[in-house]
Amino acid sequence: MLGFGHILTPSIILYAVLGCALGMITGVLPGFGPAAATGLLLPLAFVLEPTQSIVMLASIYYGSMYGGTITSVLLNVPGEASSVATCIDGYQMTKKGQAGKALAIAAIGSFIGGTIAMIGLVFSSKLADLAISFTFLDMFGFSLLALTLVVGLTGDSMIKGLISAFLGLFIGMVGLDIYTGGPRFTMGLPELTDGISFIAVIMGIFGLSEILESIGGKKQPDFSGNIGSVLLKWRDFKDSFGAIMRGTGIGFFFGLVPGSPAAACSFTSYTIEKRISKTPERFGKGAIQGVAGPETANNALGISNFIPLITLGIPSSATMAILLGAFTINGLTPGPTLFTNNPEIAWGLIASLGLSNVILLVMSLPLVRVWISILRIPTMTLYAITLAFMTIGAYVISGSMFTVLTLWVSGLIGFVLRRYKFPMAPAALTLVLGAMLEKSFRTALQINYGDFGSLFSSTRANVAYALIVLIIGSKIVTAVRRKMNPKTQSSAQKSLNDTEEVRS
Amino acid sequence: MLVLVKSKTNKEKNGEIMRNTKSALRISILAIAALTLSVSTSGSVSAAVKAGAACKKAGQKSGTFTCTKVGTKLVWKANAVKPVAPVVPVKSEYDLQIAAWLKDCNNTISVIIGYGAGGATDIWVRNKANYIQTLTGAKVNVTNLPGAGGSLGITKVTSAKRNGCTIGNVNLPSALQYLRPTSSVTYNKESINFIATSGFSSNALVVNATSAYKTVADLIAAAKAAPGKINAGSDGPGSDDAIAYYDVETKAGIKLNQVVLDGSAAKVTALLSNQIDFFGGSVTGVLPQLTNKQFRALCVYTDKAVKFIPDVPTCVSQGLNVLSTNLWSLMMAQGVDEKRRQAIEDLMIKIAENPAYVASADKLGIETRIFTSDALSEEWTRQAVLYKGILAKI
Repeated sequence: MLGFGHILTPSIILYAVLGCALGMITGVLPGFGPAAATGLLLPLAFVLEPTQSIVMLASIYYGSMYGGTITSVLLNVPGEASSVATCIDGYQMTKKGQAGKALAIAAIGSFIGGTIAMIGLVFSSKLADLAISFTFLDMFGFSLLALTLVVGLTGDSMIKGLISAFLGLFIGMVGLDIYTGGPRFTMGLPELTDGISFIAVIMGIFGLSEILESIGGKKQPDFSGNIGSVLLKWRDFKDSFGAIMRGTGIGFFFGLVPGSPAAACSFTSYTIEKRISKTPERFGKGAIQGVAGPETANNALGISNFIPLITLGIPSSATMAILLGAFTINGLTPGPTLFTNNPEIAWGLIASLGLSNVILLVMSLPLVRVWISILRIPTMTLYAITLAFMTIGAYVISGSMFTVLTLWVSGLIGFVLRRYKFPMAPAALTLVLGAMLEKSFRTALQINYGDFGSLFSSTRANVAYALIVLIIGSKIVTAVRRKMNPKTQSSAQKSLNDTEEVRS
Repeated sequence: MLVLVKSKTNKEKNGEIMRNTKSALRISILAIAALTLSVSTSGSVSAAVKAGAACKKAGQKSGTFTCTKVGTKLVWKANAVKPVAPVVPVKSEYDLQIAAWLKDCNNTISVIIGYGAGGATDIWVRNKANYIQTLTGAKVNVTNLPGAGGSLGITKVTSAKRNGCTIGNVNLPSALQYLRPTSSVTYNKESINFIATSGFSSNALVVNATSAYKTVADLIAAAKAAPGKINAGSDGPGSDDAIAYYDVETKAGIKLNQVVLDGSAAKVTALLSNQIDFFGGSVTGVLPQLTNKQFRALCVYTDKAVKFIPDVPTCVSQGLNVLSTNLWSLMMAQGVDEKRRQAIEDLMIKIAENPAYVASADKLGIETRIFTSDALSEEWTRQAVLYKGILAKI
């Protein structure tokens, strides 16, 4: 209550609205993620009141979680890292004339996920111990489990899916090997020491390759006559409800555990939705759950990410590190004492996130119509504008042309892969999970003095291993059954072809 | 009487003060009047001295008059008034150099930070940039160019125009990474033009607040009892904390198990969850956990106590002769005119001596210790020798 009392002043509300609007724009601009926006506005912390600056930066961060969806759905260009999974089905929905529905369910899911996560945030001090109870061994088990789910993203050809997955793993390996201090595949270029920019690669293989393929194709897509309705039907909501609830849980969990990348969270939600769906063949072809799940997870994570920051002083992402900077500039110490020494800041921040959640829903739904009207722009003009924004966005990431080059090269690689019908999603997933898997594995082994047996000493990791065995086992059983009963296979293929026709 | 005095109200006290003040004023007025009178009296004494009045000895001076022979008479004549040059404030070399610097830079100074926004370096440099702006009136553009442990930023600054309009940060010891055999970094000490530095943070040896190790001796004893079984969080081979661990191992005769963790947030998480036993990290970075009593610092790797944690002993005083500190500094490209460089350095020293600046740096958990460029260069050489020696042994 103290928080809401403190936050409901005209100036703070103004900063929250301004932050939400800026965050939304940030999310929409490809490549220009929340870290860049909050970094740019961090100097405000030197001049504004502590609550004002922290509320504004937090609202920018949270607003970008809403805004990132828009270009993912409309243009297949992820506005920021955590919206990558949304591209897969969101863009297919646009192609089917359901862009409005995709954006509306993303906004509603985000609101629900964010609101439920808020309840968790209120009890954050109780969750701090849980947050740090996850060891590197547990993380290894979870990332291995998430990587196993890549099998579900391979599409029609397992081989092509695995090649795509290995490509993602390889790109993720470039950079300095922190365990030996030696460079890996950096070709002597200092720009590659910190690895290849994830968001530039993703914009390239998803967005740029899409544009290249359309330009090179026989018939360019024309969205202008196929905008469709923006109104959600009860059935859409009913179909998405489970995905929204699961997304909330997944997002909250990922945000709570320090060091879990946001992109891994939305991908995990996506792959779980696909795996448990009764109609997995609809995924990748415009399934509404494929948008609702990851988008909800993304926003629940956006809220729960504050738990390690305000209760333990641990920043889980680059944006959280910037927020920690805003605390430091104001001489504030995040951690357990924040609630006792500066309750107005701690509760004010929590209250402002609740406020932002409402502001963003109110902003998002009426704006859906405005956003989809972008599709009325002639396709080639739209592509030219998108390319320009992607290029600027790539430059903003690092302030160097090297990232722009990364975007263009990734676009060309993506174009070639598309031509030969390689799925893109496995590459994106392994690009995120590869680094997490490697770090958790090597660090867990170092902590346990190199003893491989220790990998089985954690209950949580053991549960993850058991699930992996189940997933692989069920895949083998399904394959064997199909082999033994070709009739089932052909009917499955038929249903796939039907959906393919709908798509084209 | 005593009772009466004691029972004086505030109003009465104020009245008394007023009365005393009035008497003091009266006395002052009388004194001033007396002084004025004496001056006017002395003026009347010399009233005979005026232009044209007779005087007795040629050359005699009285006030602005000199006794001069005009014709056959000796008369007082006003001295010739020497033309007085208009008062022009004399600009110091510093002012001239700073003015020329700003003119060459079109009043815009570019500051490049080799690290991402929000970190200790970023905030330290931005704070400094605010003061450069305030003290010179120049517009200061700050850009983050993170990558390769700050080296991309250094490379960009060292290849900038030689007019001093682009300055950047250089952190010691992380900038020493160019000495690693596998390094792809293209700068070296000679390509950096140092400007005085003031950002200082010692590294501290920290354990979880629940740890059984209360002193450095406890930790060393445990490490001796179980060689290679005490987990120390590290930024990886060749990093400053790994170098310090090597020094600790050598001097204490122990063997640690270094666990590589990706960044300070990962080290903090690992220590909070007791996956590692301790780590050596900058006081600036662990101050939140120390303030919150989640961590306990066993010692600081510097020559004197750190102002933010004054009760923590130095490692040297605990028998562990290991020094490991961080210096945040500014620099520019080589080839900038030496007078200009010196003026910019003087500006940085002025900022570092400003109490408001020191207070703002304190808020960030960064101590202000001034190192001139020469002192910084010496410190660089000292650390480079140590670093190379340890790298050779590793």
